[in-house]
Amino acid sequence: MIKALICRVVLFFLYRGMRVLEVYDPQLRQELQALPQGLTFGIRTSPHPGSPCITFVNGSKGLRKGKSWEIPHILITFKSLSLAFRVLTGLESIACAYARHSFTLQGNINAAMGFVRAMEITEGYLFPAFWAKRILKRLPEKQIPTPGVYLFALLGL
Amino acid sequence: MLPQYFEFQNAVKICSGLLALDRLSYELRSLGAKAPLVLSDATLRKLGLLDRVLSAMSDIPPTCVYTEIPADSGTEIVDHIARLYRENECDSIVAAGGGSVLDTAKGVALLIAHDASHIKSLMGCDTLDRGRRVPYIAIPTTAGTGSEVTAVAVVSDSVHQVKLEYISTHLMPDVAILDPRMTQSLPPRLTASTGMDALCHAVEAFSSTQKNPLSDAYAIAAIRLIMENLEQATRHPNDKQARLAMANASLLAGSAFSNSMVGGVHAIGHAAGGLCHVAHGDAMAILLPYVMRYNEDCLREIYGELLLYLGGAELYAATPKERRPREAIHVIRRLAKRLNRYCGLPLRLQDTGRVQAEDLPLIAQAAVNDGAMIANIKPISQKDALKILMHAY
Repeated sequence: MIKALICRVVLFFLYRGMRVLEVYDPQLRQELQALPQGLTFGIRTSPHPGSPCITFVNGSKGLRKGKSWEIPHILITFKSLSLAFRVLTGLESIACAYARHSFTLQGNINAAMGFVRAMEITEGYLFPAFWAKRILKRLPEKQIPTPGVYLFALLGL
Repeated sequence: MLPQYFEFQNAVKICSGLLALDRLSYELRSLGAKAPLVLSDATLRKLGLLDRVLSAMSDIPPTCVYTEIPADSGTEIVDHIARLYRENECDSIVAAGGGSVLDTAKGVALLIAHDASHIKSLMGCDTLDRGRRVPYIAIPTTAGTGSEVTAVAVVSDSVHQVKLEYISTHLMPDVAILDPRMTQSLPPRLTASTGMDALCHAVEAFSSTQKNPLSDAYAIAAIRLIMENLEQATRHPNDKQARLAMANASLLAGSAFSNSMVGGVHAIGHAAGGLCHVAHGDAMAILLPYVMRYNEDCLREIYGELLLYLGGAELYAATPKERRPREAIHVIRRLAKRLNRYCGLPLRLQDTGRVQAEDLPLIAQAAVNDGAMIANIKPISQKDALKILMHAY
């Protein structure tokens, strides 16, 4: 129950944070712009119905949230909530989770790579540097301080 | 060091060695096959190797034979063959050929297993269940891809000029038949190129983020066999012992990378293949030392250990510890140079005659979006990939 709640909170900040960084971080913007417009990317924290999930839409006016009932073009489904929890709380990277077969990926792997990099850039901002250093192969050059990302994310700017 | 968690699977029955092909009928029978579809390519038909396969199937003759699979088979071919399978009411697949033929067969088996019509609709990694059972026997005629034991299929998307990767343990064939007679007619140049592909699989499997003790054991065994037999098989195509050793090395390396993934060499190589049609083995032979050089600072210990298997105990003992990683790269470079002198194996991308300098940025762009990139231990940005490509050009 607590894990599901934390996952929901992290997914909220992941989406909002990515939207903020789309404005402030040119590298993240470049990653998203390279993806096909209209591409939808979903994260489900477990195959169990009702588990925390989110769908991103790479829209013409930037990133937006997709409808929960739509099947995304690319869908990462964690094999269990505990495995998703480890990734979403920065205990392991998405690359590490891939190495450990912690999730399945439905859709074009090539198209997923750009989105995964965008997620990693966002994690680089959301997690404290000492934490992010443990899981990310390369830290992003921050264009905006971490508290700023959280503040703008909370305000929905 | 033992990883916190790993998975390893190799459920393929391996029939390796003397008269292995003559067991084909028995293996088909034991899988319950009655109406096999045989897949191969035009070259094997011309060389008479297909006839050899067909004569080994005299008890259970094929219902349909398809030999028009090109070198870089695409999604349309896979969809087309699946239609043939259904029209001819086949119940199993026998594929004899190189990586393209074996991967095409995997795609067909996947479509049949899931009652699907388009292979593109099944894209993904670990998403599919087993589906309907489609008995599949793989007979490799090159010693490089290891496709006969891997959970990976690479199919070209001609529209977007990329190679699509399908990853699922259900892609693995039921049986792999390694018969030295099937690789004997492989020309020296192709023997060298595919052998370097196998070496690349083993080296990348040994140094990727998903490496584990079992994949390491397979990779080490493969490297030893390759270093002992690749030149011999290239120079003496009729040496059955060397041919069989290379077939086994390819299989071992295939199983290693299937369970630990490949990395930057394959990511950049796939992009070069997809955009410029560089033969996969050539791309691997060219890029391997350059990507190793790039990764060296992150993989010093692993590359240092690799020297033992690449160069042997004497060279390892005679090389100071701090110089072992670089020496491991030099051993591979020297091997490639010897193969270049003997059969013209390309050492640079421009030697392939397919890559122009202006293609490099596009290759770099496509490379970072290849699924293999995620398993490379050191991050490779588009800029890094371009630098590697420029060195290798």
